[in-house]
Amino acid sequence: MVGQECRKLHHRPSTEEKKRPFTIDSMPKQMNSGALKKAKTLKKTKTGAEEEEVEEKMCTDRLSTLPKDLIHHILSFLDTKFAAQTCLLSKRWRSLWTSLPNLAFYSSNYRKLAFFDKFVSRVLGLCWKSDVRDFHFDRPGSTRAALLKKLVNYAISHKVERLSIDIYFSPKLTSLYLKGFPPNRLCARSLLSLEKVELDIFRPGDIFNKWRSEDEKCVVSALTNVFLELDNAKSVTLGSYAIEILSMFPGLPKHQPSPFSNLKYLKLKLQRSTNSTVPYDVMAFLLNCSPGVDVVREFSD
Amino acid sequence: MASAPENEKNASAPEKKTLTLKSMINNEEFVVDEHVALQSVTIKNMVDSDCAGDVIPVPTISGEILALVIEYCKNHANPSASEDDLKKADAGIVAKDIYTLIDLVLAANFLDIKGLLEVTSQKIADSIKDLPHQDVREIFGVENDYTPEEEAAVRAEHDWAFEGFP
Repeated sequence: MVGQECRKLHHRPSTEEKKRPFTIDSMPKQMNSGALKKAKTLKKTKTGAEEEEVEEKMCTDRLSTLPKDLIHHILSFLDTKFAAQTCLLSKRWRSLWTSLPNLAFYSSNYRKLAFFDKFVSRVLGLCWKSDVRDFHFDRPGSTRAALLKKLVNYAISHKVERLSIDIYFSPKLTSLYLKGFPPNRLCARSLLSLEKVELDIFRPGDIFNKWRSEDEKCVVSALTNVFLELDNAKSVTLGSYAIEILSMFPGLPKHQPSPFSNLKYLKLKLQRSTNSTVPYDVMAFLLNCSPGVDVVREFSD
Repeated sequence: MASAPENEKNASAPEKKTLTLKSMINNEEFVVDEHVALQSVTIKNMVDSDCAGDVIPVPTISGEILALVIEYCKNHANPSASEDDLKKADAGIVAKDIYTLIDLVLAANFLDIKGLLEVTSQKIADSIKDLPHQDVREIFGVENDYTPEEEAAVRAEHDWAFEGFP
């Protein structure tokens, strides 16, 4: 069962019942209910849970010892709707879910979008007891501006570390301004009317003091994904950090075609100190599918 | 060493460093290559700080569960395993009944093996998702201490979390 390298040192006496491989059936059902009864009578302490277990008959009290963090971790794999429904399990569970570190709202888990919107709105209105690391929001159709605003405010006030918002913009959208971190996924291909795009990307280190190279990799891949979605844009404005990111890849035009096919106007916001000249490769990458682009450089200190 | 020619491991390769893990529940012992066992951050910390003797006692984890944990660690310590192979192997390890999974998630948490914690938690989440509350209570060892009136009140208060669902 364990494999060849793993030898058991202590073989059981041959008189003992032959050891069966561990299967689903090898754990008798009645043991579970016994464990339950035992679990109910056990007193738990928050810290000494492990030591207590050693002293107790170990496998009988396991059900009572699932720590809160572990429950949160398991619930984090579910749509928050399922987590919220655990409030009915017992008094302890009533508010257990309101300190989940991850929130996930997928409208496909709801029969009607109206139920989904109401649920998201109610959850965001609760007094959450912890910071939120991951936040996912996925909803087709047009999302009410008020709900989106609530969502973004929530993400900011709860110091969300990873935000994923998957919504459908109206095909009539003509102007898009993205400030902050580029979204990992942006579905903008259907935005045939999109004319004006401005990308003002922050260096993650500008906001958090920690600055890791893996963050940079995320920004790079997110930024190239965003570009791919914006091929209809006629007017594009790029902030200095976005240009800096592009400059890190000298061979860019060889590996990827230009993202813009209808570009008429390109504005580059540059910082005099760091990037007063834009590398040739970056310009080629931005311009090689659209002849006759009007390029404007704007400098700031 | 020469006195044990029947042990093909010793005969073929230079001796690898091994660790012995002992389940304190049923005293089963497992000899594992050190690099396999070190995927557990808990064990790694013990070894790094010279707290590990010849036999590392593992409290609260039965031999059966420890065997699954070691199987996982061995799969993931194999440098030639492809991502697909590992996925399949992981799926096999977590294809167990819910009570085994709860033991396994506790073991992964105690031994601090992130990957195993993830796959096991995901599997538990998938298994409990569509269960009636009474079953979930049983799985987590939860006693329903609401009176019927209280339960109805909490449900009414959270009606927005139950809308459209039976």
